Amino acid sequence: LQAFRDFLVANWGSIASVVGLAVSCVTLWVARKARESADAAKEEARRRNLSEDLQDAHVKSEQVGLFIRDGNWDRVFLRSQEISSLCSIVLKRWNKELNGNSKTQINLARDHAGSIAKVAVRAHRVQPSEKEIVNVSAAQRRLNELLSSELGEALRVIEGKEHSDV
Amino acid sequence: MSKEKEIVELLMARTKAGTQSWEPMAREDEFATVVGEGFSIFVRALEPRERGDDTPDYELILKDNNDRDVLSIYNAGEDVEWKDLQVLHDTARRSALKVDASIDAVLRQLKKQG
Repeated sequence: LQAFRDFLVANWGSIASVVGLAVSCVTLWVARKARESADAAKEEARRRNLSEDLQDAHVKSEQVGLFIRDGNWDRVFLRSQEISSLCSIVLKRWNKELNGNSKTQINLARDHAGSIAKVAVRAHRVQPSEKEIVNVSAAQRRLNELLSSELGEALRVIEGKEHSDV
Repeated sequence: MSKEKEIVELLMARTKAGTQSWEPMAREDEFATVVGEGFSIFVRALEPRERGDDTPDYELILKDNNDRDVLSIYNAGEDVEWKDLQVLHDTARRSALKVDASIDAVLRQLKKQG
């Protein structure tokens, strides 16, 4: 015991350095883990926002279908414009998170929404023919399909992340 | 060759090769395709105008990722001819409506039935 005390007294400086180094390493590791957790939480929150925007666009596209059925062209126009804007926001805001295929799908959704809006503007003045209504309904179904697919993809990523965290 | 003409020719070649696909839009005789990560190209046949015949007019529009029309070719422009747009429109229509796949399927069925 005396020998150990003598060793401590003789080498206290070196021992303190080693202990200090160990404490620094642990602190660094804890800080890194905390930052990783914070980044993951931030990314998940962004993904949730993405899915919320896509969900919003999807609900609106279903409403467009109902308004087309009822011949309510003013509302078809308004909702289509809203979907088009939402798609633009999604493309800008989540440019990094979206892969190439998702960007193409959302771009197409925006194109369909824009095209439906153009038909709705004209329909306000001239009653559309049966063929035009068939075309616009087909475009609405495709719009819905594109948005559902992207919403599913966004939710799959969130759920995959949750499972990997468990 | 102008850049406009190059776009039309590349679109035609890629569509015929099956590497560029088109979709029918809500407006009649309008088809769209997405190029890269933000550009959309629309090609549309319009009502015949007072040209003395009943051939339609054609319009090609290029939209950027802010949904702005950055290029518009109506019937003809910068060494793009009416015929080029007509062929592109027809190629886009065949891709969008999957005309060739449908014809092949019908032919297969007919041959199977003997």
